[in-house]
Amino acid sequence: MTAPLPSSSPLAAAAIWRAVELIEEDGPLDDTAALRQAIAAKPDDRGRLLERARLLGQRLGLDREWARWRRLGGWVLLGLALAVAAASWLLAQGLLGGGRQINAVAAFLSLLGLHALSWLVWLCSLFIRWGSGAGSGGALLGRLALRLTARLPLDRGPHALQLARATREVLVRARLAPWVFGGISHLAWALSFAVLLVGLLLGFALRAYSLGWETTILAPDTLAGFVHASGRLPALLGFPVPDDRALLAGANGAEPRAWAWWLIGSVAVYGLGLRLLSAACCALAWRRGARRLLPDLATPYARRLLARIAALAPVQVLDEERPDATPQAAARTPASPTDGTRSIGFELPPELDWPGPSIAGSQAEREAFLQSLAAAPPRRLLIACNAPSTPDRGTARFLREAAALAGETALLPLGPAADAPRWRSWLTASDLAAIAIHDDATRAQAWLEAVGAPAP
Amino acid sequence: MTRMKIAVVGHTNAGKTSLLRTLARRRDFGEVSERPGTTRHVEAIELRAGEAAEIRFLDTPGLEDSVALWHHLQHAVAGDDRPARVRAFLAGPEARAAFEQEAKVLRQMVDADAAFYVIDSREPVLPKHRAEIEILNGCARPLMPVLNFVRDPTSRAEAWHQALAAAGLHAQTRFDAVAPFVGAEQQLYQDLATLLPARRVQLQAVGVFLEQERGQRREADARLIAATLVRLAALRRELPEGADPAAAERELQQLALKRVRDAADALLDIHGFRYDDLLLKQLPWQDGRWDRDLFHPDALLAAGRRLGLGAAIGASLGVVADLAVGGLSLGAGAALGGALGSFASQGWRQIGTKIANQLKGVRELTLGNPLLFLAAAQLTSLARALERRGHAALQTLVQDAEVDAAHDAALQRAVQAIQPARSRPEWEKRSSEDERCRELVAAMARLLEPALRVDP
Repeated sequence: MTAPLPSSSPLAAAAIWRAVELIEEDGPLDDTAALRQAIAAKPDDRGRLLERARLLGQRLGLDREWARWRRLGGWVLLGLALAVAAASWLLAQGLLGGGRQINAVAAFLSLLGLHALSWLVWLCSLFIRWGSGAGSGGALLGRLALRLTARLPLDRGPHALQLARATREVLVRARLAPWVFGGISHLAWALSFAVLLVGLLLGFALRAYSLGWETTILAPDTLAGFVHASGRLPALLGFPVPDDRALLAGANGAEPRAWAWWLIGSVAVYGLGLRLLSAACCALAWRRGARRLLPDLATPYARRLLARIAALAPVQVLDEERPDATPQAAARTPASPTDGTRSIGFELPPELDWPGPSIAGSQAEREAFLQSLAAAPPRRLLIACNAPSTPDRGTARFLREAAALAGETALLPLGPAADAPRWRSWLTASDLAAIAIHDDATRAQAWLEAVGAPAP
Repeated sequence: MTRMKIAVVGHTNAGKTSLLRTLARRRDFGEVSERPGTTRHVEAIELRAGEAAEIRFLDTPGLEDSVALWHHLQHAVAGDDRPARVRAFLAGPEARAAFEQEAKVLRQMVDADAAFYVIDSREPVLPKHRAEIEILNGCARPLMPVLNFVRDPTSRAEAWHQALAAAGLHAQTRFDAVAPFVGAEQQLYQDLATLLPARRVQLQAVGVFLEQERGQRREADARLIAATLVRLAALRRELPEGADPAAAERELQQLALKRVRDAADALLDIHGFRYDDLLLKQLPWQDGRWDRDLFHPDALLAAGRRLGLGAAIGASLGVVADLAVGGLSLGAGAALGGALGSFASQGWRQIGTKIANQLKGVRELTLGNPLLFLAAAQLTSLARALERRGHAALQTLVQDAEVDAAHDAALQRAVQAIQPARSRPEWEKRSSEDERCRELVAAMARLLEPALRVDP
C-alpha cells in the first residue's frame, strides 16, 4: 500500500467530501470519533468538515482508491493515447490506400480532421451548455479516462464508483469539468500526436514515398492557396513549404521532400502544438479555479454537520461551586418579646396594593426595620413580598435576620400569580423552613390578628 | 486574531444563560429553569465568527446579595477608588465566605473586555438592583445593559432606562432571549461596538459572520425543501390491474408522509434543535397530527383553493391516478400542463383518465398538486419558526395552524415549477445523478427562498 493521499490536493479533498456525502445518503456513518478528531485538528468550519470526511474516507478506503487512481491514471492515459494514435493511423492508412503514392492533402485532412473536430467540440463546450448540462460535452476522452480508471478491476475498492461520481460532480459544480476533462483529453491527443510524428518521421526517413496531390473538381489555385496558408505557421518554426513548382507538379511527386516536411510540420503545429497549448490553458484554468472546489457550506448536509459541530464545542467550568460557603445571620440580641404583631412589605413593586408599611430594601431601610424589631420583638411577623420576583440570597438574609427577632414569621407572596409552592421550596432549600407561607392576604391578616385572642 | 472576553452578569434568574444559549445557538448550554440561582459556577463558551473574531463568553452566577455586598464594599473594605475596593474585596476573606457567589462574578468582571448586564425588565427597579449597578460599575469595565423580556406586557423597560441612565449607563440594548427579534443579535454586537471602539472591526466581523450563517441556513432549508418536493412530485406507483386502489393509495400516502417527516427532522438538525428533546416532542409531524392534516380532504381542498385550482376538484386530491400507456410515460403532458398552468394540468389528467378507461392501459398513482403545496407550506412555515426561535425557549414549538397567505405566491410558483419532475420517476431517489434534477432543485430552491425569509 502506498502512502495515503496528500491532503494538499484540493480535488482529492473535495471528491472525498462529496463521496462520503453520497455514501451517507444511505444512512449516517458512525462519526463520533472522526468528528471529535476533526474539531481538535482544525479551527474553521470548512476545515473541520473536510477533515471529518478525510478521516471517514480513510476508514472507507477512499484514500487508497484515490492513490490507486493516481498510479493507474498515467497508464490509462497512455493507453488512450495509443488507441487514438492507432485510430488516426488506421484512418490515414485507409485513406491513403497503403501504396507508396500519397495524396499529401488527403493525408493532412485524415491525420488532423478528427482531432480538429473534437477540439472544436471542446472549444464550444466552454461557451455553450449542452442539453444535459453536464458541462463537459467536448472532453470525451477525459471522461472516458476517469471512468476507465475507476472501473479497472485492479485492486478496486468498494466505493470506486461513488468516488468517480463524486469527482465528476465536484468538477461540474466548480465549473472545472471542461478544463480538467479537456486537459486530460488534450494530453491524450498530444501523446498520440507524438507517436504519430515519430511514425511519420521514421516512415519518411526510411522509405521513399511519392507525395503529391490530385483533384477532380477543385481548381489548382485553391489547393495552392490552402497549402500556402497552412504552411505559414510551420514555416515560422523552420519547416519548408512546397514551392510553386512542387505545387504545380501535381500528382507526379516531383518534390516529395518539401511535401513530407509540410505534412510533418502541419501535424507538429496544428496537432501536437495545438493540443499542448490547449492543455497549458487547461492547467492555467485549473490553477485559477481550484479554489472553487471548496465544499459548499449552504447545503442541508453541511449545515446539519455544522450544527452538530457547534453542539460539541466544549463548555468549560471555570469557578467551581463550593457548597461549604454557608450564609450567616448577623447576631443580634433581641429584647424580651412583646405580644404585638408586625407586618411589612418587602421589595414590593409600586403598583401593588399593600395597606401596611413597606420597605424597598435598601441597606438603611433594612437596618432601621431590624433595629425596630430588636427593640420590640413581635409575637408574629408577616412579611409580604412580590410573588413573581425571583427569591435571592439578599431576601434570604433579610428573612433570616427578621425571623430571629420575632416569635413566629410568615411570608405572603403577593401578586397576580401567587407562586406559593415555588417560594415554599425555596424557603426549604435556604434553611428557612420555619417560616410559614400564606397564599392569601385575608387569611394572612387573620393569622396575624389571631395572636391577640388566646393571649391573656 | 485576539480573543475577546465578555462576561455575562446580572441578577439571579434574569436570563443570563438564556442569552448565551441564544447567542451560541446551543440548546444544551448551562441549565435554564424557573428556579433561582440555577447557575452557581462560571461557565465559558466560545463563539468563533469565522477567521476574524473569537469571543469567549463567561456565564456567571447571579448577583443575589447585592445590597449587603455594596454595604460591605463601602464600609468594610479599604481602597482609594471603587476598582481598588473591588480588588481588595476579592482578596479578602468574605470573597470566600458570605459573598462567595458574588466574588465569582466580580473576578470575571475585572478580567473581561466588557460585560453584558442582563436585566429582567419585568422586575421593578429596587434598591438591590441599584446596588448591583453600583457594584458592577465599580469594576470599571465597559458595561452593556441588556434589557430582557421587553416583549412581556409587564415589562418596565422605561423605568429601567431611567435608572440605568441615572447610573451613567446610557448605552442600552434590548434583547428577548427566549423570543429574539430578527436581527437582535446584530444589534447587540453593534451596540457593544459603541462601548468597545478598539474592537469595532472584530465586532463588525461577527455581525457579517452571523448574517452569512443566517443566509446559509436559509439556503440549506430551501434546498432541502426543494429536494423533498421534487422527490415527492416524482413519486409514482403503478396500480396493478385488479389491485385495491385504496390500499395502494394508503401506501403512497405513508411514503409521502415519511419523506415530509424526514425533511422536518432535517430542518431541526440544520437549526440546531433536537427532535429527541423532551420539550419539542409535541411537534405536529411527531404526534401524528400531520398524518391527519396532510391528507385530510378539508386541508387539501383549502390548499387547492390557495393554489388557485378552484373549488370544484374531485375528492381524491392527495393521490391522483395518472396514466401510462404501454410503458410510455405521459408525464411529458403533465409537464406541459404545469407550464401552461394548473388548470391545464388538471384538465389533462381528466382527459387522460378517460383515455385510460378506453384503452384499459396501466394506471399509476402520483401525488396531487394540492398535496405538494401543503407540504411546501408546512415545511417552509416550520423553517421560519425554527429560524425565529431562540435556543433558550422552553415552551413547545407551536406551529401556526392558521393559513399564512403571505407566501402563497412563492409557493404557487414553486409548485408550478416542479411539474417537470412528474415525468421523471427516477428522480424519486434521494440524490439523482441527473444534472437536470439538480438544476430543477436549485431553481426550486431559488423560488422557495422568499418564503423562508423571516420578517423583522
